[in-house]
Amino acid sequence: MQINNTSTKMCRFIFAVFLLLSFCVNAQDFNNFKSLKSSGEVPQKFMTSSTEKYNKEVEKMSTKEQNRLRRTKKQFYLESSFIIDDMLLSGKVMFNDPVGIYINKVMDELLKNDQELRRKVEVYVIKSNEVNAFTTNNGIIFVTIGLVAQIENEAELAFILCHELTHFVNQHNLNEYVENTNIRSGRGTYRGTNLDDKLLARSNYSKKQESEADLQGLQRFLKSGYDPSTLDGVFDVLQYSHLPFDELPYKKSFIETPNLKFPSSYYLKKTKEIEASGNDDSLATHPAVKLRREAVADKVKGYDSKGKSKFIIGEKEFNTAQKQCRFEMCNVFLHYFNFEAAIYNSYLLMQDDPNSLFLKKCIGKSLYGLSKYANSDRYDEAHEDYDDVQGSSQQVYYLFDKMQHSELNVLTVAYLYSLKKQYPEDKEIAALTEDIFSELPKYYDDKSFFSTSPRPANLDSLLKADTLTKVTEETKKTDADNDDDDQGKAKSLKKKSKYDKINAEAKKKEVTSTNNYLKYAFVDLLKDPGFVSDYDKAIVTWNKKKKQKEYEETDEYKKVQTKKERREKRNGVALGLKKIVIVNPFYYKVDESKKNNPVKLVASENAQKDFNNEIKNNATLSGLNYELLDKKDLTPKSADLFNDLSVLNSYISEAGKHDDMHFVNYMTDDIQSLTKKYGTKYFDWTGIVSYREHNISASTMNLYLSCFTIFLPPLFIYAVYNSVRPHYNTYVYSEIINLETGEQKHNYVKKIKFKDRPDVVNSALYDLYLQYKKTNN
Amino acid sequence: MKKLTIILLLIVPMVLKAQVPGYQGKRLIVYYNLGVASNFIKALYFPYGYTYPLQFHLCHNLDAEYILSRKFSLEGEFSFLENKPNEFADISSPIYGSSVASIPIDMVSTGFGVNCVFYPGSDNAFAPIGNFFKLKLGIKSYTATGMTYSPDSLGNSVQSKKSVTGSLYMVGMEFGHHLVVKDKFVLSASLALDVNLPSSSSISDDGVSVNVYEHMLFTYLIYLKFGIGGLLY
Repeated sequence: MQINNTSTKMCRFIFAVFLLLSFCVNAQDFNNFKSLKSSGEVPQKFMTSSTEKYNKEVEKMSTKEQNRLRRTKKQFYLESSFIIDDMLLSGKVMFNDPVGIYINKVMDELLKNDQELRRKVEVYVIKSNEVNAFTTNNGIIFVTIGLVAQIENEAELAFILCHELTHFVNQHNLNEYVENTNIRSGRGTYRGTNLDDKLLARSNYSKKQESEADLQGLQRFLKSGYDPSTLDGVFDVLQYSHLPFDELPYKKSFIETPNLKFPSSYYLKKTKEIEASGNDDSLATHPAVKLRREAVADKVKGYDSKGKSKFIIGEKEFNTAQKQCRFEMCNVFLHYFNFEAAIYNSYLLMQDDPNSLFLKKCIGKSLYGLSKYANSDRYDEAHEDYDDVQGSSQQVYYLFDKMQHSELNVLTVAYLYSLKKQYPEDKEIAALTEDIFSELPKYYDDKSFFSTSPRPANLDSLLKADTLTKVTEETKKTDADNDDDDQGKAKSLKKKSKYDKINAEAKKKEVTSTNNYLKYAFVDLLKDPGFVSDYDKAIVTWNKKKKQKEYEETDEYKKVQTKKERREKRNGVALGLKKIVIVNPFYYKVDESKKNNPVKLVASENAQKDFNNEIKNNATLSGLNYELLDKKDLTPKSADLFNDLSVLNSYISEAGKHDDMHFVNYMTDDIQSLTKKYGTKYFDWTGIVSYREHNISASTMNLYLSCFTIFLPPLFIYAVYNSVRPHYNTYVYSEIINLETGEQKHNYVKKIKFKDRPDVVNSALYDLYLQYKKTNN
Repeated sequence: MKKLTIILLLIVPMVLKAQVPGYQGKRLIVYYNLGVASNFIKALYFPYGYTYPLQFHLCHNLDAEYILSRKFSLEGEFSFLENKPNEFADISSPIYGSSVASIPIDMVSTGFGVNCVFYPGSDNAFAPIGNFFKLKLGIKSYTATGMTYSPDSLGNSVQSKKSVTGSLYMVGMEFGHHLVVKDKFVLSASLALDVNLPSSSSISDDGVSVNVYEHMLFTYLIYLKFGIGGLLY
């Protein structure tokens, strides 16, 4: 009995450990949220080439169709195969990720009685904050994280999936393409129609398909176990998709610190009214939401929801997937420089997870981004106009609109430095703090500006009073009540003498001037010797940068540069790189004469395969240690490669937006792990564009040939041929980036006036890799 | 000599330091070139009553090119030709007056030359591929056998067979294009313009020598070359 008891206890213990372990493995730690990633076996659709997919679709086509229709359909298959593959391999689409797994379970539930259709359909999640779902002709349904973040229950998701299934089953994409081609070319019933009629016809056709998807999707939905009474919510999601996933009043204390508070005039007294969107459907692709809502409600009216449920897979699973999407949205906002949106999104998420390091970092990164763009006089690229925003989030946009650049920098340094003190081991925070700190002396190159004595207690009330004099035009427009309030205060002021009013105003201005309240921003931090020493270092760095900038203006510097450039032109550069990682090489064959489709898609894809071999061959011959990461080399077991490429794709697209600005990348942790994994910090984005010119060339070569024709008449034949033959240019691109510093190590663009023959490509590549490898010049 | 030394001292370190890609690291190419020349320029003589049959002649070249930079290479050339041109000579006779006789010549010539090859295209040149421009300097020696006419005591031209040897200086240029095939072979096509002039020591006014000069000057003034080479090292 004793033995039995012990074994039972042991079993329970083991069970509990397993339970705990499985929970730990599957659960996402939202304090240290890690970006959603693909896992498991790579789906076949990610590995098959676009050309192969296109050929398969063409094989399936009926031979009985008219030639013109066949041509249009072939063009559709060609374009869609390549566009869909571009999307699948862009790094934004994930497979076997936690959210995708959940959505696929919902799809399994919907199609449990139609296994044939289930086999044809695949659902993938896209890292996009747009509220959207769409279908391709080959059975891929894409659902954005923005959509999952906004819907309220599983039944809503199920209805959206049913809607998309109808698009696939009825091949709406293909039909719309054919119809649009007919409309554009004025064929059949569209003969002789004007542009307005054509636009209207396109819109009507698309709306007809959407209505069909709603109603046929509803039929499928009603056959499932999901509760139709929730469907009204789907249309709410559509109507308010322009808003964040929640609507909470923004608290000033969220971003302010006890020592750094901004005047009340930096906040709106009332934010813009929320308006529903999608009610005007003139020339739109979708019918007005109101009409769709009514049509669905009409069909559902009187439908018995007994035994139906909002959740079948599970509420907990839904909530987890949704939370993951909402957290992932922060990354996407940062990637697209929607910094204010990232701050408000973090604000909403912090209601439940106030101590999340991920969210704190997201705010820090947003402040960093805003400051960097402000310091580079490119603030407009990072800041969105608050007038375009509705609801409580408008407050955040307004705050960063009113904030001066100097204030923004002080706020960023204060926020990031405090975070750095809290998490001293975090390299990402350290890198962001160091970089933005080095720019603070642009505004305050003397730290004595900042006070070490405590912030006066009456400063807050004075900052509030400031609102009376600084009521903005915008506020006046939006808030009539405030006008009444101001008028009351103005009446009380009227009782004072003229000189009292002037003196009071002067005093108020003195106290509420930027310098006066900002100087207390670092009261606590200045007590830290580390902060003081870092500030001193920042001032030294800033002065060095200033001197360097001044030196760069001198003739001496220009002479040295010219000499260097000349030497590099003659001898090439000598980067002395021990190893590089070549990422996603690209190859485009462009024919200028084909105006509608200048990129030869199939030829480009075929050339790309050879290009990879040429890269490997030339890198080996030049003795360069390299690794080639290519999306076209995916195998069922290369989910890691897919994830690495996603990170790198995201990195390069973000880096491209910063241009010359030094910017600490938002994915520093991911990037660091990649440099460790591949044993180098140098990553190369390379590719070739072969360009065929359309115009008959009047080149100098032709002039010489014409002259020689006098002496050698047979040359005339060649001269004629040379003037009518197509002229090609081959462009070779390569950009080496040091992922650790974000520095562009080398940017190589060569225009070679020949066709992209193998010897031309080989020569260019060998020369390139030799330059990368050599140590001295 | 002093100048040459200075130039060499300037060029050599530059060449040693420069990154010379060659073709995938291979910088030495050996070519066989076939020159196809025609005497069509002699059509200029037509207005003076000379009627020349159109003839084609071949010359053979063995070249070794060594690439020194992205845009420049040096080439050593050995040329060989065995031509049988039909030249013409004025024959004078007191009875028949002046007339023109066709004189077939058998000539063999060998020569050596040094060529500077330039690959234009700002910083986008990759010797040895693409268009090139050559400056050529060379010397040729020849042996020719042909008929010569000399007047006898009555003023009639007397035909006699004569063998001559001599040398020619050659200055020329060439425009062409190189294409690498299978990473091993180089195909070449070019238009050559050579000026072959007699060296002062071999100037002779005998008919055969004059005809050899004329043949070499006019036939090889402009001609086409086609070649194939191997990327060796």
